Amino acid sequence: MDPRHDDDILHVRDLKMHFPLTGGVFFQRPKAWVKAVDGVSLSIRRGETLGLVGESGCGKTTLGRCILRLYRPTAGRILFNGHDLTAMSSREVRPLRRRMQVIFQDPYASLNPRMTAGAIIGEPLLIHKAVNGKEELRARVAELADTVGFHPSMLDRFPHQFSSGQRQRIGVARALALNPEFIVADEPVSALDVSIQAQIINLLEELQRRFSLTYLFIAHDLSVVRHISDRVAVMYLGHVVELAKRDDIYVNPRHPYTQALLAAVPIPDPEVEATRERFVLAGETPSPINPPTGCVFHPRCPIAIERCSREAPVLKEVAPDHWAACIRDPGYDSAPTEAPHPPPQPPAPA
Amino acid sequence: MTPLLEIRDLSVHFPTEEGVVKAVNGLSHAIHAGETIGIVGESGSGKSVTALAILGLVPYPGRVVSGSVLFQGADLLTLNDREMRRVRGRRIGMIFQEPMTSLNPVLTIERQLTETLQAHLGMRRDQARARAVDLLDRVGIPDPKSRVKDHPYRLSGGMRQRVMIAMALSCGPDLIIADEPTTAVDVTIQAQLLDLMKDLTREFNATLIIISHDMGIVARYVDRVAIMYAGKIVERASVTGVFKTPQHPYTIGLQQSIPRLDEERKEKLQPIPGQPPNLARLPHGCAFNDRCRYAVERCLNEVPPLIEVVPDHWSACWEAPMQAGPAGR
Repeated sequence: MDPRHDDDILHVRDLKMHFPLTGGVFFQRPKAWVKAVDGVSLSIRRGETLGLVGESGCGKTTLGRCILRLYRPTAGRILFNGHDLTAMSSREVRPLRRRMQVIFQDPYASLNPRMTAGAIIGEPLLIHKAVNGKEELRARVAELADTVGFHPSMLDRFPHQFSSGQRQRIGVARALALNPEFIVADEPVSALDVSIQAQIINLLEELQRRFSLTYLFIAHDLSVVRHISDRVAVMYLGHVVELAKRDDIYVNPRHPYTQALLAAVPIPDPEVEATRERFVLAGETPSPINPPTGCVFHPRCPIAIERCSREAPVLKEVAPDHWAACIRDPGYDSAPTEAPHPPPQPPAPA
Repeated sequence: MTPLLEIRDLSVHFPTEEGVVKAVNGLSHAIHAGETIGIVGESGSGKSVTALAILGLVPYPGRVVSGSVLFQGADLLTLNDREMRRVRGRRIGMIFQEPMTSLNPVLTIERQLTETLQAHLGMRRDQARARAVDLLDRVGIPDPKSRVKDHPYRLSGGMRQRVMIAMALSCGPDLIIADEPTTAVDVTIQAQLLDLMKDLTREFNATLIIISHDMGIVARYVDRVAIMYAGKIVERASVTGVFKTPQHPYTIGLQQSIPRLDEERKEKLQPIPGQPPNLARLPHGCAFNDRCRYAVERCLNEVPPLIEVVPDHWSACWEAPMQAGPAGR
């Protein structure tokens, strides 16, 4: 996030991902742009879990996919272990892919129904030629299955023969196959039943300790994110509006959007609910095609002033290690104005 | 006091290749007028099928094999299609999870709202139109006069769900059944919609049943809760009873397995082990026995009945009552 943390695994700087909306039959010229991610800067520290939260359409999944270079961003830079992914060709990115993996939300859609569990887990090993021969492949797949608590005798079965929790274990094993350092987990438990979610969350935490993994944990469930994350970034309409340590953001949220988001989540305790201050945000998220001027949150913000409609706030360190993009924050104007994310010098070519 | 709705020994079965799926398996429940009721359960617990059975909408090849559903003095399960149509929409309103699939995509909002008003209340067209605009206004749709002419696709998910709420309330029903009404929308919109539903049902003097998998929603919005597992109610009590002194091991397990927004991180979550049961091959005895850490010999052989373990607090467990106290620990 800042110069005090030079052991960052990933730097994202001024990242923009705009998708064209095309019109016309023959000449598909962009008529407008969907600004899914519109100027995001953040860093992920080695070994941590950064939770990325926001409502649908805020750009959290797009950001995750840009980081994995599944999309080519419109602008900005992504440095993974010092390598600038945005400047690399697809061929050059490929060796780095072994070190960054993904776990998807829907264990039904993300597993090929015509492959056995064993073939799914082993596929990355074959693609990256990480094993020699069938025996080694079989042994490694069995080891991975065991690691995620999946009985090796079930490796010959097909995805439809499993429950959603077991399927997600297959997805986790596949992500681990190449010994990655960094995993983007995009809503990994939101398709699972409540009683199964905790099993997968515990598994992800155990694997992180065992293999020193760094996670970008994308989710909309704020309770799960509080449990699993070290730091949390909140996105709204393509922007990171707040970023801080887990308990700082939950106990003392500074951005009005974060405050509204937290207040909206019902807590499974009727006594707490009865005494809780209610703060229901009015209106709906505007379209990312034509976002509001100034602060993108200002039309719904309860404390917006005239300046908010003119001036786009930047993410500033309004308290130690607590970043917020809100000009109404008492710490905003006095916070350092220089870019909080010094771009590390690009290393010598790998 | 006679309950507004009384379900007695309801069973709904679905024949499948694997065997008979007992989606609802001998369920009894009574709902009194003016309460807000929560029915909680995970996928496959039978909570949605119960709602469909009340409304006479169990999809083929499912079939109500036993039981009765008494509503305002009549057994809904014995009504014919024509009689049932007069109950649905008129006396019982419905709000489903996905408004895009419950609204007709080729008809305007106006047409869909006026159709109900004309059919059930015998309103004239112009009366119904005026009422439709009024209803949209009540559910907080901005500029209702022009939005009423729109087709559903023009509205956001939250707005569509507001239309569903308007439709459910339109004929002044006595009971509204909302099945996962906010699962498809974002959390800030969820708060808007649930607040609206709760306020309007009170204003319209209706009784609200919220079916949900989200314990937080239940804690915030309902008065009494029924917890379902494998087609049965396993625990039933006031919302305070269920959350403060849960009696059934499944309820206790659910509460321990979910992280809380307002609590500092616990070292490790305590998941419920195993998988939800296969409804075509339920275990002998208690359906929860293979995941239950309190299970004893008897649980493997005999199905525990729902019994009143403390006044007005029911639990279906041979080992109940569990120790009282927070989360039964």
